[in-house]
Amino acid sequence: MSLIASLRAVSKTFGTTTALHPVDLDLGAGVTGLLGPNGAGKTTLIRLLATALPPTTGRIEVVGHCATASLPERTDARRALGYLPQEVNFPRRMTAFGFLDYVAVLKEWSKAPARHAEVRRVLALVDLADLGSKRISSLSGGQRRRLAIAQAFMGNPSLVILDEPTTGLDPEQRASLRGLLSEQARTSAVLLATHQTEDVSALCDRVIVLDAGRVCFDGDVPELVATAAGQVSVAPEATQGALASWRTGTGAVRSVGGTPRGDSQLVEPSVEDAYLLMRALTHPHEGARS
Amino acid sequence: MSEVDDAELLRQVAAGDEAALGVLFDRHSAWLQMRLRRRTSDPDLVADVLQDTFVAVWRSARKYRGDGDVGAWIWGIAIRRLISLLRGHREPLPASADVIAAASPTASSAEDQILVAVEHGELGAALGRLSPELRTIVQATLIDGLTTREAARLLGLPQGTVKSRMRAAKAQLRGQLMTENGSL
Amino acid sequence: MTDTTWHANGDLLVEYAAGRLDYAAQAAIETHLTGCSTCRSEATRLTDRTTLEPVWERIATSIAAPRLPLPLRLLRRLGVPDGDLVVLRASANLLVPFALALLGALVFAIIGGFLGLHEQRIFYLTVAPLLPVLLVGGAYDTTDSLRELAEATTFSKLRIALLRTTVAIGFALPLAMLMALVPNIALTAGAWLLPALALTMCALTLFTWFSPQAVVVALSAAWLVVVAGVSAGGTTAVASSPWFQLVFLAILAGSAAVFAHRLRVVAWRRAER
Repeated sequence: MSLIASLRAVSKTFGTTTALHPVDLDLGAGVTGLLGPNGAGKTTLIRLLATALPPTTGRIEVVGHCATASLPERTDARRALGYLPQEVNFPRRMTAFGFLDYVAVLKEWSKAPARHAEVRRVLALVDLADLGSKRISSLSGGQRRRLAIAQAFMGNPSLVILDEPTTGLDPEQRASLRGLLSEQARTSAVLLATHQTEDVSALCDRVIVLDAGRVCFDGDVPELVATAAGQVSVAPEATQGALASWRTGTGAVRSVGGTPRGDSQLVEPSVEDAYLLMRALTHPHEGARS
Repeated sequence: MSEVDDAELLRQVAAGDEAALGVLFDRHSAWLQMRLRRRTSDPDLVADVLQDTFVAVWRSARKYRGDGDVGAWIWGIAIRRLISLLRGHREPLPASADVIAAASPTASSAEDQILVAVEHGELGAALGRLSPELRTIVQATLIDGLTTREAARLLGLPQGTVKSRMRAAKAQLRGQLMTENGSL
Repeated sequence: MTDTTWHANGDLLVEYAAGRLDYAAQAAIETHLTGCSTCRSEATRLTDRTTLEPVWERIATSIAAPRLPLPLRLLRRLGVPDGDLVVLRASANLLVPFALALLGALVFAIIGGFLGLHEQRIFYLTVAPLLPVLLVGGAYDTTDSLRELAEATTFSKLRIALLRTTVAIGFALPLAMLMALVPNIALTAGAWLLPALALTMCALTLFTWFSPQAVVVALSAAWLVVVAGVSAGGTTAVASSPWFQLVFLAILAGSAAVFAHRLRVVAWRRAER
């Protein structure tokens, strides 16, 4: 795997709070999910990698440029990345095209013809080709989200960083986002932060689980699922001490964790099951939920 | 076409629908390009006229009053833009677009009949027999749809001359029609 | 209007497109095409899309790309690069400081009418040079709603700030001159120009080190002290004296030199894409 970005012993402290404990990370081509609850440090890690925030310790490298070394190096690193923050406050009264045009100028597309062609390209990429002239205020939430995603893809960056990109997208839009990401991931590293396991199972090849500022897991999605092997079962009633259980559509109860009953049948775990079990390991005192 | 008709598309364009403009472009750009190429040999100029025409359609779709065929209306914009560019005027589009769109004339019924005859090729020989000056007038006014004043400007003639030649040409053509059909 | 039983068949259209038809047949086809959608779609079928697609791209760009407002079009005529104009257009939130400045100038004019001559001059001498500084400070740090996103981009943040502040200065100076129209200010009017320029240049230089708020407060305080000292003798004549002006000319030149050096250090240049 050729290295596109790496973090070495990177940590971030705000005053007395440690948002991120020292972490080592390597990113190559492909879609990597960053999974964790709110407050786990996902956004901090995302912002560090996007060079929107300087780390307290450690070294961040993007396509061979060390973003933590100097401003020129950081500028070179920034040329290779596309970033979607969790919240984008669109300037009111801008059109979709105008917004992308502005971001393109910020990304140094100084010549209008090439810049406009790139704006048209990314608008088509997210299926907004016919809405360039529309005011952002008249676009739906999903359309605005797609517009925000579009700017992250301008210039074909080697590292694409998306913070909760699926917020506000319906299942079809999420499916086309998957197509977009996997296409880009052939040559770029795509990192997407989310607290929803559906995003990981739908979009990612690799997943990093983050909790309380530490990395609990870093590997392929099947590996994560394998950690839950033998712990998910289906039975007429919930298991004893189950972490989570619910009645499925067939009437049986699916239980995650707990002691298997006599009539329990083991089933294939999902990403969500594995995630729940992993969190239980790090927060044993939280107890069972139903 | 069986789906949305052109007039409805124009209404959608007037409401800000870019996709509707795209459909209009798909339907009309090909024949417009063909016809413009019969008027100038410069392909870049043709592309510029096409571009300016559809931008003008976007900006002045409201001005289409629903009379006459949409294709004819768009051609009216295109031919005027071509003439304007040939004269070296690279005016900013908004003003001329409105003027252009508002100036599209509607054909009178007498001319309708002649147009129908022209269309069916019945006047083939007759048109060929017209003198070059009369033929140019017919081309500019009946076929391209310019007003008398515009034709006069284009050809560098006084308006009175254009009007009298038009009368002569129509009389000749109508005469041909009557001899061919017996009555009108 | 049209009888649709006759249509231009494919071959005829090909001949027409190639210009091989005689005048009458050409006229017939052209008249027919304006009214017949069937033949128009036949024409579409016969046409190679590769010439038309780029035209559509240009059309879509033309109708979607926002047009620049008049002041920015003037700047473009003066040779300001296109990218800078886009940045300025996006900084619509500059309107608030401008409106405040205008309001302030009006208030000044009203208050000035009620003061005695000496007080008027002190008032003017205090306010006029600080006006550009305040505007520049406000423009430098205008809250960018896209700041989070802009953080990760490469366009020099300093350049953005300077673009905004230059526009702010361009607005502030004529405004301060307008204020000088208040009667009795005339003698002091010329005296403020060099201090105004010097203070603004100091502000810009200090922005590259410290926060805008701190710089504006510090410079305002310093200037108030200067004015207090100047008017202590009951007259503001000192402000118009040559050596007073020379001091500020020196400050202006000095801070301009430091600023130029700081620009080089703080990665001013941008790459072309």
